[in-house]
Amino acid sequence: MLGMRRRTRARGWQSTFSGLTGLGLIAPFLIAAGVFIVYPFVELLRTAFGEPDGLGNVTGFFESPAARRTLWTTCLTSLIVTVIVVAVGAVLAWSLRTTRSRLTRMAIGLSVFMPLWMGAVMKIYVFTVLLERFGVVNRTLTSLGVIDEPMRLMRTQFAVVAGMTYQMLPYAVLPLYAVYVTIDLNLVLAAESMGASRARALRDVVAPLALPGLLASTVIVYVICIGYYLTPVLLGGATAPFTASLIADDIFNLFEPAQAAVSSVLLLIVAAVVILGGLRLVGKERMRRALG
Amino acid sequence: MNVRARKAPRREAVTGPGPGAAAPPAPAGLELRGLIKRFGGTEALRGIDLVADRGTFVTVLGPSGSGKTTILRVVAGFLAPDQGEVLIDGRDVTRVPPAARAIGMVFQNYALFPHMTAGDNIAYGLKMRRWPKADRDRRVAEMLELVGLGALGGRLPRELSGGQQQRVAVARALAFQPQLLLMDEPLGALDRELRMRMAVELRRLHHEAAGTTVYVTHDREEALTLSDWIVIMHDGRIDAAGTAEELYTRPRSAFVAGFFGGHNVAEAAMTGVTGARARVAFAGCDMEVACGQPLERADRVGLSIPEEAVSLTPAGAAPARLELSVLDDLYLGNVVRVTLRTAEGVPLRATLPRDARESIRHGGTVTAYLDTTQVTAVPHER
Repeated sequence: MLGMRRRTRARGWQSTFSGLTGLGLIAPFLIAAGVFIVYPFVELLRTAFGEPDGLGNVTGFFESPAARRTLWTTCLTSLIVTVIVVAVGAVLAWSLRTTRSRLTRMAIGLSVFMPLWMGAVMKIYVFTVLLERFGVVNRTLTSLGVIDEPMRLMRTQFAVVAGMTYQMLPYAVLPLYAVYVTIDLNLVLAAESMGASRARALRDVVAPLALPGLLASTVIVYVICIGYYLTPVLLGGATAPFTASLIADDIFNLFEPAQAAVSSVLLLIVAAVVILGGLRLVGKERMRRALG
Repeated sequence: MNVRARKAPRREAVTGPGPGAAAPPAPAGLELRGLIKRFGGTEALRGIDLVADRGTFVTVLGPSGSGKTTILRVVAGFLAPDQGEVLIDGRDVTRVPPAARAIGMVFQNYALFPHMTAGDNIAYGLKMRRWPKADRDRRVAEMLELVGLGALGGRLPRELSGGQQQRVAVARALAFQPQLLLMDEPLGALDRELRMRMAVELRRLHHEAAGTTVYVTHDREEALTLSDWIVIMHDGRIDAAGTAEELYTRPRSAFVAGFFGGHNVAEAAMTGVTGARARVAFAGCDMEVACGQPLERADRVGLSIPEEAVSLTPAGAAPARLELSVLDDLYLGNVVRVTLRTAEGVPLRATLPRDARESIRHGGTVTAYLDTTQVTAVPHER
């Protein structure tokens, strides 16, 4: 009899499981997060507030005019880039949402996704080709007679802003597009049928509904921007020193891990403030929805 | 075809002074002249001419893809026609943007502004027209009252039921007293019972607003309940237009008869045609019937036979006697719906009184009479 017993499951299949099973399933992630996020972060704080001067490391950062300048340049340049990127991205994403022309859709799609497919060095090299002393922009402007002498475009803050704007565009367009597709286009027509101009309809109907998306992409773009390293170094040189290059200098040239750690912590604080500020403005729920 | 939609004659029109013989004719509430609209290679509208008197409730009825929504979008100004003109109350608005057309529009999915309360939705058009705040508030309260939503002005659309949202959409479209109210299948998202209740409601609101209404639907029942005038669209053209009664009793074509429902569309041999009457041979009987439109002499002709035209006792001026076999019967409570078949194998649906059920045997034969005055000859379509 015993040998004849059919093998049966102790319990039927369930769509929910106990807390312990759940914990077991996410354990690999928890371990990875511990090893790759929590441990380095604790180590970073210990370095920043450890040798040589403890808290004095931080005051040391602010006593150095060069260090202060990098933090200021980083925050300001990132702000300029973010404003341009979100403004241009908002228009591009709306065109992508509303166009019926396949050609327009493909053109926008390609121009937005292209930077995502290219390596950072490639993208920067493209800007070098465009902006150098005898590059495409200068030659075109001279031959058109707009300028007599080639302008200095490379190694300027302008070059950094242009390069970063191009690279950041997808990060604004994609979340904005995701919000726009949830907006019924008939709402715009409804507003127009009630006497609103197209601009007024966009302001009264689309803007308020897209606001969480706008703030979300602003936060994303800004937070990524303040970490930029290659673009400011290659396109801006000494004109736009970013905190990231200061960190690299401290680690690889000056061997001052404490200073590097302090700079990193300060960047982290800026990012955290921006994210929390964004969350406060939009409300957690709407932000979560906007981020998908 | 060129059609003019008239307001259905009502009792007061008969007893009161007749429509002004001396007064110059008022401009039509809506006039469409030769509208053509192409999308890529396909023609969505192939020449639409329509004149609707002010105050008429016109329903544009047609299957999906027939161009009925395109008409509405052209009239609203959301689409520019490739050819033709749109006139509202005599004013050519073909090149006028939607905002300046004095139209109210009710969308299929209502398109209520989700971030505004019901009251703010209704007030939006008034705000755009720069009504002072006090007037706006008064009008919003009035409109909420009119659509029976008195206390719900402060709710957001998502806090309202489907029927309530529908009422807000109508109130919003009517608030600024547009000359023309356009509705695109506004009842499509509601359940059947609510739909019929709202249809009666819409009819009342149309009368109170006293403007012209163009209503697009694919639902015949709605069209019958609501309209003074029904326009049937087929393939980007107006196939037929008239009052519900005209369209039902004398369909112009097999498409109208088939689409409008309640008709058998059968094929018969034509033996002669004189003026508006045709002689046909159907199910072994020679009969003379009215034509839905002027017909050419041909071998074959279509016959539109209303389901009530078949009975078990002779009726009408010229009943034709038919021997039919019974295929199926469906007891519907007040009536019996039977499917019969002629000796040639042509199926014929009939609606009979309840007691007729006793004389019908499934699979047997029955002697029935066809009231030929109700039969209409239409062009034969393969």
